[in-house]
Amino acid sequence: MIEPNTFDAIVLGTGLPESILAASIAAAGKTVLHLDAYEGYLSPWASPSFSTLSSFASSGGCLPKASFSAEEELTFSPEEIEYKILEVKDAPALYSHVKVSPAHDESSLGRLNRYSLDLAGPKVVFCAGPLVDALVSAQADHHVRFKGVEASFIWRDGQMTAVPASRSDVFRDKTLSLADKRFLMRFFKLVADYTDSEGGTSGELAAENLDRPFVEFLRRQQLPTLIREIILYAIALVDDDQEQVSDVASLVSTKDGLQALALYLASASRFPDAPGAFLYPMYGHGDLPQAFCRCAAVRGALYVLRMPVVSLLLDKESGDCKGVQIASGQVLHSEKVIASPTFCVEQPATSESTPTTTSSAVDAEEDAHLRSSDVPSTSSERHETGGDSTKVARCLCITDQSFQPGLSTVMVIFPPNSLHGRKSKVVRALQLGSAADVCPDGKYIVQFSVKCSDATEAEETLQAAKDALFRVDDSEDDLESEKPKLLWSIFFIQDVSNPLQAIRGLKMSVMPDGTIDYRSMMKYTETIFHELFPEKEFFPKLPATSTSDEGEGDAVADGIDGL
Amino acid sequence: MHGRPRQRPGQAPSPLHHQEQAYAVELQKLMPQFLQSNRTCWVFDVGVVCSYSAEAMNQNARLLELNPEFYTAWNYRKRAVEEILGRETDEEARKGIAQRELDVVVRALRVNHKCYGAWYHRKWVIGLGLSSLDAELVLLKKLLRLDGRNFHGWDYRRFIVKTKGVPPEEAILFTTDKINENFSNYSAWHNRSALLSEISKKEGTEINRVQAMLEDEYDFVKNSFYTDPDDQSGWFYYCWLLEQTIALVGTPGSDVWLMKVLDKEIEACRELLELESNSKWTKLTLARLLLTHASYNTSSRKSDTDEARTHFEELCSLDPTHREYYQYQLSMLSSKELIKDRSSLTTQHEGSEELQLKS
Repeated sequence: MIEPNTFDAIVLGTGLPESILAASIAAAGKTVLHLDAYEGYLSPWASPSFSTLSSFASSGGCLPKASFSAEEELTFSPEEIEYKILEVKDAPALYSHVKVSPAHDESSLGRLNRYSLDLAGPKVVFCAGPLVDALVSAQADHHVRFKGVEASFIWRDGQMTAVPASRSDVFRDKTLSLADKRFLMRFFKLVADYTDSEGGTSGELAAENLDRPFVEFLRRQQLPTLIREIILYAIALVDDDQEQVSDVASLVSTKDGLQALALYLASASRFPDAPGAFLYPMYGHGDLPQAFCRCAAVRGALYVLRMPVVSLLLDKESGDCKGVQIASGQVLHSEKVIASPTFCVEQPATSESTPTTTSSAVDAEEDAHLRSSDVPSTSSERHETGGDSTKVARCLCITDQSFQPGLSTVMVIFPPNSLHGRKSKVVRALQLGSAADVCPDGKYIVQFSVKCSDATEAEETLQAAKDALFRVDDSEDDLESEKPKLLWSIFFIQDVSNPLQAIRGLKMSVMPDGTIDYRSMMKYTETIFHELFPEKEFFPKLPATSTSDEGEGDAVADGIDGL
Repeated sequence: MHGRPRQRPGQAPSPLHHQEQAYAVELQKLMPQFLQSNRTCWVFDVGVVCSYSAEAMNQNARLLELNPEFYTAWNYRKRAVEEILGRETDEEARKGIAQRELDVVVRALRVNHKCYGAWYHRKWVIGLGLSSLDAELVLLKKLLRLDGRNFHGWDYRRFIVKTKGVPPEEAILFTTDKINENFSNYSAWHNRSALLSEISKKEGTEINRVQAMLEDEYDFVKNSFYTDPDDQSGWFYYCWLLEQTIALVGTPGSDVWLMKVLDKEIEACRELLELESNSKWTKLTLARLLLTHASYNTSSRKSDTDEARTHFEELCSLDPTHREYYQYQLSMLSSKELIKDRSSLTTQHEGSEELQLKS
């Protein structure tokens, strides 16, 4: 029995957005019940162990659930429950095309229990981004430690070029001409001025110019192609090709581009001990949700893990969300339910189509319908079916050495069409070593991602990126033999679309998307929070205390390795 | 202190106050003890062998941690170490004694890393030749990462490099690293210049090598002002380079080389000025280069001087703080020309005669 049985909000699933919401709602002084059906905080945001990932792969892309055995059977008859009941199921086909190679040889990987593999990888955290701010205001920063991303590279003409992203990078760069150095630095200065002026700029950056495409602005700055690519894809981390645009919606506006650069520059200078603008959480991204959960628990949120939810309860009259029923049979009340997108809830039948049937009859009918058809049309209407933005292909590789000798945590950006002979989208790769405590000593994990409209094409693109970084086994070439050897890899395609739902009081959180950082997730999370609790502030800023008035975020800085 | 509320009577004192009080109490206790042992060792110095007890040494170490600026205490340690080492013959034990001194210095430097006495004591201990110099270089690397422009650190590094006999060609690599990390580092540029002079003054260094070295330096430093033309550190080093270049005049083959270098540098500055028309340092350096050029190349003297003059004139309004300096430069230019004009009137004849003699 869970006592009490009424909460201001019930959260289902321990993915990062759900955990942040639990922490923010608890911080706002509301009561929260956080339920999770999976073992050990497993979610699409988790960093599962090698064995968990293997069972994920062998099941064709299902997150293994904790086995639930009811200690006490509680039964509530539908009559007792004065609600309309909607069954809560697992969302179908979140992951597809799962491929492991080699399938059954793990002998060369070393100690398998030392691996943490990010299901959402590659992802990095901006030092000055909203996630770090949320960590600091939630006081979750004591629970996470970070490793700075040591360097970024851009793939160009078949080789890696260091991304000159700071004053000293520009100074020591050997590939740029002197004039290019001046152009780039002048551009950084322009961005800094724009940031300082808080939008009140004139001339090139006048308000009317800010809505025009960012790429045009870069062209007007006389920036050479290489620098333009670096700024767009490796610094502003733009997701889509800006030079040859297929869809106007994928064009980044000058304003958004400048904001991304401003965030980058602010990030690069935020923590003196971080080598660059990006951080990677030690032990994998899966540590982030747990940190927020701890904060939520400290502020009184109630945690019940390994507890599946069977149904969502709606008000019979209004159709508003009223609570959930869990596997033990108990009914828990809340008018606000947040669910991870790994769940799907049947859409309520509209009053026109089923005016007279009772809720249980609806269930029976829909169950029958489900059994008769392979297409779960009643249960998972999703936004934007088909098209570019709904799927992302990811590949996690294990290698035997770093592709940049002397460096461990390294990001590589493959700009559009940079993989020779191919038309390709932006590919991101992130290498992690034992310094980030995600693999045994001497092994490296390289994560790749690309937006995917076609599975075969995405797989081929990632293969080309892998060939660029890793050794081709049979090659006699001396250059090839210096590259790391690919020991093991898993490829999968993940759905990033968000379930459509129209039930008042029920909010679906989001899957990890195709971006490489957490800005979009944070924005979405904050929106959900404000929709549910319009009168409350999302993670109110902490009052400055005498010990921390040297600037918030010091604790995060302390957490960065290498102090 | 500013920004801290006044302490109200009856209020509990701040933890910092407690700390300071404890510090004062300890200092009051240690001082007489130290003075006592200091006095006794002086008395005993005359004739009788003085024993520096372990207790007195520990008290002294603690005292120096509380107040690293206390010279008398450092001197006491030096006498003590000399005396103790004189008695000790075992090599390992002698090394241990030296190591203990280095540890005392580190503790003192943690309190005040700019303490002259502590740095001097460290040099003195290293001078005994009982410690690893490589360990010192590792420590210095750490220190200079925390504070890249700590001149005690740089000075001490020069001392270690000299003691160890590191060739300047190798020592210069460290300055390259530091400058790559952050080129706004006068200490690193300065150390680089010192090491370069050392190399060029070395016996047997060929003139071609010095020239090639200087050319590489020009290319290296140019990165700094193309990255940030307002940063002075690179420009200062550039001026020093120019001096070194001129200093080679007179050695065989250098005159042609000098003109080549000057032409190239003038061109580079003009290019930068095209991109950054209001850069004070670019204008000033260009004017200096032009004047140097003018003094070695008579054929373009007039045009060089005129160009330099316009740069100085523009600088007067661009950088009004140093207007007087620019005006002084302008007046120097005018007076030089005046003298030249006059002398050319009187010496024209002699000059042509000289030419005839030469030919």
